Amino acid sequence: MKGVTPVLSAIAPLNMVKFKEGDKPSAHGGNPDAFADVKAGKTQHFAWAFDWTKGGCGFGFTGFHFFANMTNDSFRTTMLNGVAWVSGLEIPAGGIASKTPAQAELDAMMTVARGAGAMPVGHAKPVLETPLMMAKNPKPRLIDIDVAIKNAKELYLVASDQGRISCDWASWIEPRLILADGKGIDVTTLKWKGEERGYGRTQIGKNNAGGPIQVEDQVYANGIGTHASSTIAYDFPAGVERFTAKGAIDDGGMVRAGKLSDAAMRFHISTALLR
Amino acid sequence: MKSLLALAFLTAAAFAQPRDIFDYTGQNNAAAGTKRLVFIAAKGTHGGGGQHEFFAGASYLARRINETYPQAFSVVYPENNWPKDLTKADAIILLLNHGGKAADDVNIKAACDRGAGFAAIHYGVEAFSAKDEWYDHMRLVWR
Repeated sequence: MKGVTPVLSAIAPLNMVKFKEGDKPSAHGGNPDAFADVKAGKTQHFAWAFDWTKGGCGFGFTGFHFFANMTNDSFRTTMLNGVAWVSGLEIPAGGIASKTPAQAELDAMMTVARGAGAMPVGHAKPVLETPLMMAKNPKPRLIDIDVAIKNAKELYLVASDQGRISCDWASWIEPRLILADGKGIDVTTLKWKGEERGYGRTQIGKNNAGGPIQVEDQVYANGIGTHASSTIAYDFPAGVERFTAKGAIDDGGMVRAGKLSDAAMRFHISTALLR
Repeated sequence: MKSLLALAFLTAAAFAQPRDIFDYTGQNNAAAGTKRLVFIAAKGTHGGGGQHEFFAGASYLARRINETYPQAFSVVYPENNWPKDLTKADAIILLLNHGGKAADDVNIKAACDRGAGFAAIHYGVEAFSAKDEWYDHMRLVWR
């Protein structure tokens, strides 16, 4: 442990040593050296600082599973101090002062981080945003999207979850890039360069659970099914002038236990990430 | 003396600029001597809301650092917009579900070799495939 200063240390509780030989406590577990130490009741370090002889500092902390831990002053200050210390910032006596956040403030931070009511963070201002679509206020079920995107080099199709990932089955129906000569390129034939979603899978011609894309009982063979909060990113072919599609809450997300669900989303078109 | 005062004023004004945690260009163009912190955080959550809220956590830490230190400019990159230019970074802070991508990142290695600080939170400390050399430049070694 040359150069390492343990910051937080503990002996693992007994239930950590009940695993049989070869068992892994979780997908992340299973380091045999660590496991042997835990079984032997040796002290484990879960926060540490490292002063490197070659210059530069390191701080490791295995905690922060629960966001609510931020309401613990000691926990929060340890994280702030560690981050400031590796950055070469001077730590005031008593540590970096910060107000104890209320749970409501943490809830708001999580909501913002998930892109509630707007684009997920990290995207440039969208060139188009649809009105809010909700299962509980279900008209119109399809929203026509038609937006000029001349000279754009990238396309980001975003479905935001309005703060809660719940039944947000989002479908992009018949997405097209329109060229100057009026010809359309079927976006479902393009290979996306990246995608992410709040749940399930993003799929061509299927909803996020693998069934047909369907709105008001009509099946749409051509489309992309996903689940908000979702982003699908493409690099552009040359000469594109417009993007058109229909955005919809898929039938699969509309009803839960016989009632209209909590599904709520907006569709956004962006042509860049913030850089 | 007058010019010195003007310089001091200009410097203070430069530091007084609002430092937005997603203003990557602003961080890059910040005054000399600015401490540039680069957070890389996984978005979303798993295991239920309130767990592994790395993006919210990084955003919180970055904002507090910017509030506390006028000479610091922290930005947060979502994992899907991974920073490519770390040539000015004074520290790289990971809040991730796995550190593997960072372990393979040549720009992070270069920054650490140059003397940038490094911090890893939660599963960011872990990289299944990493070689011992990685743990050296990640400063997580205790051989």
